[in-house]
Amino acid sequence: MQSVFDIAGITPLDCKNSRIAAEGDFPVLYRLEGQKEERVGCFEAKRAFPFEKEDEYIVLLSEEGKDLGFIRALSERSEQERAILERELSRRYFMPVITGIQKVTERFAFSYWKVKTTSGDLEFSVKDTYRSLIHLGKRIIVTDADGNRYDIPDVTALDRDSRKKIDIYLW
Amino acid sequence: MSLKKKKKEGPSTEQTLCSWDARWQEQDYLDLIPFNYTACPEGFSRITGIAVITKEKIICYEQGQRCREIGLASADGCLLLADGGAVRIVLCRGEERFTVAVADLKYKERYGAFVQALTRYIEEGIYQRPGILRERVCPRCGRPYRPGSNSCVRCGGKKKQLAWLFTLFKPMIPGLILSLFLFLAISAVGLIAPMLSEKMVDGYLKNPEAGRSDLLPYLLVVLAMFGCTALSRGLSALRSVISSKLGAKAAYRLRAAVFEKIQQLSLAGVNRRTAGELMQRVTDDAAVLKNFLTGDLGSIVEQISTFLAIGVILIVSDIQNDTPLFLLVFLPAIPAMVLMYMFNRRIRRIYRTQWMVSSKASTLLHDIFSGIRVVKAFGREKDEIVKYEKAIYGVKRVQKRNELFWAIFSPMLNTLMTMGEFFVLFFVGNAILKGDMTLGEMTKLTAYAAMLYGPLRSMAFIPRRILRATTSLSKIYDLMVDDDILPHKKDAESRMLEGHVTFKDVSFGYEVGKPVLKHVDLEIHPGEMIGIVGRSGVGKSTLINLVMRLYDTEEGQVLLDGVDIKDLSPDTLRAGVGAVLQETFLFAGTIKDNIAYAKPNATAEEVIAAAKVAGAHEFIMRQKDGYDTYVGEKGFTLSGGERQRIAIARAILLDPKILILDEATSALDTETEKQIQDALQKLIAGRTTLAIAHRLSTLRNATRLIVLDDHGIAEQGTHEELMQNKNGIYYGLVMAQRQMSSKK
Repeated sequence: MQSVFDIAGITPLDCKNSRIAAEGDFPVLYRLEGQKEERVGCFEAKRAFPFEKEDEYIVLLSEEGKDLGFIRALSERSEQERAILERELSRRYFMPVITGIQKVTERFAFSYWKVKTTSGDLEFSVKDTYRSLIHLGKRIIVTDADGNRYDIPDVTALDRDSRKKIDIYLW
Repeated sequence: MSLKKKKKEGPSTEQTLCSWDARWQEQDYLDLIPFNYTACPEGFSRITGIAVITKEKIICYEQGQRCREIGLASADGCLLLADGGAVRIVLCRGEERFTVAVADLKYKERYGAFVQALTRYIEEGIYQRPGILRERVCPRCGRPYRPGSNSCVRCGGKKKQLAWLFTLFKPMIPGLILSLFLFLAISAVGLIAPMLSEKMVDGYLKNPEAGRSDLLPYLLVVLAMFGCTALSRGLSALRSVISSKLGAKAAYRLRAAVFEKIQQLSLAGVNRRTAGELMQRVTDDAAVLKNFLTGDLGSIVEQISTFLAIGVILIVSDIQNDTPLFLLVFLPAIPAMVLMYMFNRRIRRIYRTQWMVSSKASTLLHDIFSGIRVVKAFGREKDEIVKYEKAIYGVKRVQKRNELFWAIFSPMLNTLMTMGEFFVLFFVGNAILKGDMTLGEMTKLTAYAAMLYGPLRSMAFIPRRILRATTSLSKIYDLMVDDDILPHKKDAESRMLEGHVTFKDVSFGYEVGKPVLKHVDLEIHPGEMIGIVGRSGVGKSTLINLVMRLYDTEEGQVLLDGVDIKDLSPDTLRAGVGAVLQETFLFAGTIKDNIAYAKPNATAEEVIAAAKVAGAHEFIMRQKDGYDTYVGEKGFTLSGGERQRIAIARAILLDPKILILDEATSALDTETEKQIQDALQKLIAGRTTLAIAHRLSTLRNATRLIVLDDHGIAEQGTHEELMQNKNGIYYGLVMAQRQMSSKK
């Protein structure tokens, strides 16, 4: 009997069958077959498990959104390639990190946040606050009304005042 | 209030550019794209940037510095990357890619429009500045609109809202005034009672001789006290009757108005909001408003007037008797009120968390019960028990904490609040002992003092009630002024359609920057049967939605019999275009009602005839109640095939000149599909038909097939013609399906 993996035809992109390079601001995938090298094109890197496995199972997608394969772990790739991938991932998953909360007011099912972040002081609005917070143990990810995300890596590490402002949402 | 502060508007993009580089003049560039991210090792950092689009190139400025240029001459495309943490406009030149601008997701829609404009410029050499997009943020206060609304709930003109409410409730105003008057009357009657007690104590009880010698006046006082109580009860009863009548009327008027408005909205207007959101406005918000008008408003008036009246009585008596009773009651209550105000947030939080955790637990329960088959099938009962126990443990913990808080807080507050009563008692008692005051006066004054606490307590809740009512009013009003209605020409003539359908350079998309159809031209003659084929999401359903005018085109025209669909009367359209859709919705009602849905005045014979043609008559007659068989909300008592046949009968009864079949038979098994196809065949004859089907064999009778791909018509012709082109999409689709069926 064939295993699920055989049926799925999963062959991870590793150093033997692929090469990753950067062209200007954009990452490009090359497929290797023996001595032959074929340029596949620009790709977008996406984590299959963005919350649980940040450095593993990185799926590469073509500009049209077609699956090009996945990289099992960043550590499998050369330092240079890893840098390219990490740059790409840090952009795709870019979120300002919230370091302090100055004010949260709630009005008409929206909450309005005034926060200190690694990208400076920001103000944003969150609709349907309870459903816009992703709880990952101590980590919390806030999604604002436009879809921008903000990271609170450890709620317990926030100062008391900041935490008090959001503790009604922490249930 | 800081919230009311108007947000300062920053300089416009043009002004910023001029301050950076004064050489720029409006006519030198085609457009400006503002951006606020620049790449850095951590991802992006925030900056202020402007990309200037000129005829030859794009010049980017970051923080006032000219930093890069991208030539447009050899560019061959423009992309929008928007599913990450930022939006990016990317220019393509062969295999090369260049970042034009990066910004946070607030810019998503705007960037979509820029990409559209740039693409057109690259392809056709024409640059048209994107129109002002519907801003999702209030220009006055900078707060986002609630989902699906076009005005700010905060800034949306309270005056206008009240005016609207006034016109809606105009016929009820005398009733409302009467009910308010009754509220006042009840509180006035309540004020008489303590005076009578004074009379009784001072006049008779303290001086039993007077009572004994002349019983009649004493009896009169007792009777008057009884009268007061009776009157107050009677007025209350009257008020309740009036209020409930008014309430029912108000709710009816509000709901009818809101529902009527929702029905008038275009499908796009309806789809922007969720069904839950709309239901909430029709039911909950209307109820809040109704309760406020018929209950809260009256009791607020009552409380305030009671407070003022007693306040005046106490103060006057204080001045006369040189006593500080009013202050004795009022001053100790102040800390209690302050405390209450301070704890308001905490109390609200308590309610909220309790509500949150218990609703979480019940959602979980609902989830588990709905999926109980899956739970059992995979033997996960124990894990679900653990999950649920964890949830109810959370409920228990919150409940315990909250109840502890209440148990301590509320007696404390009450003691503090009513502390004044003891001061009054002490002071008044002292005055009696000194002989400055009579026992009767004491009875009266302590009664009044006690009556002051009701209004004082309710003061803490009044602002919240008003706020809740105004929020609901804003939410309803926002819906009432929504202008997303497909406009109908007033003088549009009613006519019989022949079935000529024309698409003239039609472009349409549901979202900005994501066109579904682009420049579609199509001519369909009366009586033709058109099969529409293509991948999912390619715009097949969109095409027919436009023929039904569920949406209006962005560009171009849809013409029926040579008349723009926007100029046809709704009656013409509804009588002329009938549809059998994939999702057959049967409303709660009888089978007859459902068949006659599009033509309620159909005769019994017409209904039977339609059912017969649809092949539904027999199974309907097998039901115990025949055509009067009641079908539930989703018609669960009927099978998919049976429901589909009722839907076909519905379309047949309408006898439309243009028939739309959207995957009418795809959900059925082959046997049933064949039967229904036969029924449909009868229906199609002589009518213009537009049919969508995944199973291409269903379309074998089509006079013409249209293959959609890449936002437009890729191929068209008869089956034979299309099969000639071995590289064509249609050929590929047919071959793929043949392989599938031969494998079966």
